[in-house]
Amino acid sequence: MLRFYEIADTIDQEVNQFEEDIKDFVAGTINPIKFKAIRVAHGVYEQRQEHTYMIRIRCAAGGITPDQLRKCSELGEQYGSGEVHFTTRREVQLHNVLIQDIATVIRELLTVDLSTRGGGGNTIRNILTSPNSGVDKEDIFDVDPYAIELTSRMVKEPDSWNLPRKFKIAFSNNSKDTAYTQATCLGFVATKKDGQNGFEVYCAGGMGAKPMVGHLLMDFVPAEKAYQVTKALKVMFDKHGNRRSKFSNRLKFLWKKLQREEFVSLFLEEYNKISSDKSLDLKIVDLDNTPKIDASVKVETPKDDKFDIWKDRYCLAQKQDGLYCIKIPLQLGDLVTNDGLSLTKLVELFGENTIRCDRAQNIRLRNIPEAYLGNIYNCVSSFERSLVEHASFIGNMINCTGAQTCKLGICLPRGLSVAIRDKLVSSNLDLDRLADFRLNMSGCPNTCGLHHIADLGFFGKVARKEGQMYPAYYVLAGARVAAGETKYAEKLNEIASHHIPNFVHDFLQAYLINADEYENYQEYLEDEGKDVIKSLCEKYSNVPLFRDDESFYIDFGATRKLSLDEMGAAECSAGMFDMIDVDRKVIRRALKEIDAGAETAEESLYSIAFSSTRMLLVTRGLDVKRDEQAFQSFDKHFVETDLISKEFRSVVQLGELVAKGDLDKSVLIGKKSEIIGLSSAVNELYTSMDDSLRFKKEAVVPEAKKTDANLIEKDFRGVACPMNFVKTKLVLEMIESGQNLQILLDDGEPIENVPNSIKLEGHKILEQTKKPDGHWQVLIQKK
Amino acid sequence: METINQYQADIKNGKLVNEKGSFFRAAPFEVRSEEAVYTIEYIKDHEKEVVYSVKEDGQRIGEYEHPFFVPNEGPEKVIAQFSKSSSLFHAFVVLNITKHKDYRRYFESNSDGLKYTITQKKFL
Ligand code: HEM
Ligand code: SF4
Repeated sequence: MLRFYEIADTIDQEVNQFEEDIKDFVAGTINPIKFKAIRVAHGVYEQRQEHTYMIRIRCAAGGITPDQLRKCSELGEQYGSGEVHFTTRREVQLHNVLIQDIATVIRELLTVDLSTRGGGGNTIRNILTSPNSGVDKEDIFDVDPYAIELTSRMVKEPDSWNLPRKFKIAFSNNSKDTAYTQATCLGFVATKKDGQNGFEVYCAGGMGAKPMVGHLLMDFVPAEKAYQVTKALKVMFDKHGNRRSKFSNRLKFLWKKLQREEFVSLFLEEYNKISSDKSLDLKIVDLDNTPKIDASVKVETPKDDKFDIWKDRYCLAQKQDGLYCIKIPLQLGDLVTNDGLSLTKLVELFGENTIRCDRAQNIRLRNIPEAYLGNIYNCVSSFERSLVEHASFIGNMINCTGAQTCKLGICLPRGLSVAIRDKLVSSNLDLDRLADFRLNMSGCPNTCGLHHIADLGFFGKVARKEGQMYPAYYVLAGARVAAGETKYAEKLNEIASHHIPNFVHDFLQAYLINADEYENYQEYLEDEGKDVIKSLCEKYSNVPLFRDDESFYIDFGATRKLSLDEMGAAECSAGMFDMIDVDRKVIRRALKEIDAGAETAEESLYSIAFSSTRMLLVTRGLDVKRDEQAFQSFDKHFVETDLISKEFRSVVQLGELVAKGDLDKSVLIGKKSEIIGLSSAVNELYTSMDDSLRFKKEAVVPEAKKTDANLIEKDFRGVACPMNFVKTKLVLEMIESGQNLQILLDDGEPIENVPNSIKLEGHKILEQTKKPDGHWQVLIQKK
Repeated sequence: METINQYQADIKNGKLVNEKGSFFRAAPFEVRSEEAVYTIEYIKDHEKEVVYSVKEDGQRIGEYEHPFFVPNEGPEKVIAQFSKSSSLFHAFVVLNITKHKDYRRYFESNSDGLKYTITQKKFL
């Protein structure tokens, strides 16, 4: 039986544990933030509607067999939204799942060897490949088997589930780089050297709000060494990645911090330890790209005369003689249950290696003999919901789910995509000339809709007219994708959501008129396209007043005026708990080492002492640059205030002297029981902390400086996330309900996150204004 | 059948007076007053959207959708129509199920005399 990865033996145990965690969460004994960290690593995300979940299912190399897809459709019908959603990361998702059904769905998926492990969180994510690898006439070699074997290895290594941040891997079948390796943490591009299969290796790319293009790490590595490369980079990331800042912890930031020379040398240090170990080489089993036709299948004649145009648009001859791959364009990536059932029933007659997810949220079939294209046509053209009747441009548009289900979403790109489609299909533009055009949209800067690699892209933003918010997008254009030459789309302008359908129409019209004069779209853009975009944005810059046209302020597909009220980022607070968790883990590990009679007991004891003193500083808005500051600040804010018993003072002071280098770590050996006692006291205090960062025990502070001024002002410019949030929260704790606090924040992440998180705590944001020098002034009223 | 309660609260004169356990918003619960018994479940409707579905004395009376989980008409109209439902929507406000400003405001001045209990059985 074909499977696109193996599943770790520990999975049952992990799912049982997860089920217990779900019960504890429901019973209120695990807090939502902790539960979030647990569930996302199982591929379970909360939708914008609280307690409604989406479940992400791993499909290595985008592969899924007909029996697996059928199972997904059945589960989608019984426990989900009646659809299987195909994502931009070539995997599938079930939406609208209730909490009581999560464990059942995960177990049912396991019966067909599908796993949700690592669907989200700080894990090795789904490993991608070029969508037609193995059947593409331009294959250097088929890279799918590498993604499959690498996935099977990675999912069995426990450290894959606890990295500093998500870790994405992709394989391209040639230098056109259709798997976008340079937009990925680790990318392999198939190449040959002296007749040997190998990879050019790129790393530290990533999109999101701070996009970075990946760098060449190795210009050739034998193909079977892809495991050693991945393992080495993973170990290096695990050791050196930044776990204390949620906002700068992807691999790309590590490259930026270390720069090439140091990054590469740390990587090589790990790689050289394992590169020549042949037992680690990937053992590749080629995938069978030949048809397996069931003898009972009769060749059907196409049911209508649109077959030929469909064939032109959607069918492509494979490198295997007489076989075709076929694209099935879905509406917004959704395959409804009945369509899923009829498709899998038909496709399984052609074998197991017949389905791939594609990056534009569509399905691709492969290994279909030409004679049977009519059978496929008859099936897909009878789908309840698809886009087969349209030019492939329409189905190639990519959009993320946006604010419909995503808590970070600002705009609704699904609604926008429908509006653009309606506009274009009713126009007389020859969309068949734009078959490969990438029109990509995201609901916020996070790039789930791949706007950085768009020919024409959009990402959501809030715009305001006379204080009223309306949905708008930034406009980007001109990404270029090819191994070693990737360049992200350039942000050019911004435009109101409601003007975009006309804007897109006009822009494509202008392009099509002149396209023949240019070698390619890039040239067109440079020569005149960018100016066209700018002048069209100017043409469509008019925004009606709210009182004149309320509908302009309601996004496509929304029923109410744009509002950020239920935006549930809570990113800041989560960031703070992440920081605490780093120290808790260090303490736990070091305690274990001591229990096991570690030879380096003094190192372990120091780690416990240091992490115990640093762990809760963040709750007081403090961070430290040097070790000794942790001991000093802890003494001042926790010991002096009696939150922690004064009996620990001497050991804290001893720690400070060791940190400064005045004493040797060996002095700690005699203080083992005090140090362990300190860590328990800190942990106990942490457990007693409530959501407002208050401890059960009152701190004894010199007469609180309560202020009765009506407006308190604080300047948090230059204070990084999530510390700016914690500091804001602490000031709010000090003031009276109804009193106002005005804070200054930097542009970028601070302004994107802090006000939302403060709102989530129940306070009111009265005003938010950008100052001429770029920082923000935010007026908060305490709840 | 497990009968342990996960959460129980009394509301007297519109105020929470007695609260035990931890309320989970996506599990079934009951609002019981002298006039009516409401059972509320977080389930999927026929379009597979997740809603709060409410039964009054065993009869389904409404399905309330994201984001506000209350009827679209304002509270004055809704509560005038079904006077018994004060306890139901008051409970939605108290339990933070609805964040609708009009409902919150309405109950700031219309909750005197409200007396009912909320019970949620152990769910999973
Ligand atoms: C609950 C909904 C989601 C949330 C909250 C979310 C959040 C995010 C965030 C915060 C980033 C930026 C990461 C960074 O810069 O480090 C991101 C990137 C991305 N997400 Fe999502 N996402 C969601 C759903 C999805 C879905 C359904 C897909 C498709 C499978 C997806 C695909 C991507 C892609 C392709 C990127 C680009 C990034 C890269 O690798 O740098 N996301 N997402
Ligand atoms: S791009 Fe933004 S809105 Fe879209 S899914 Fe990602 S985080 Fe949500």
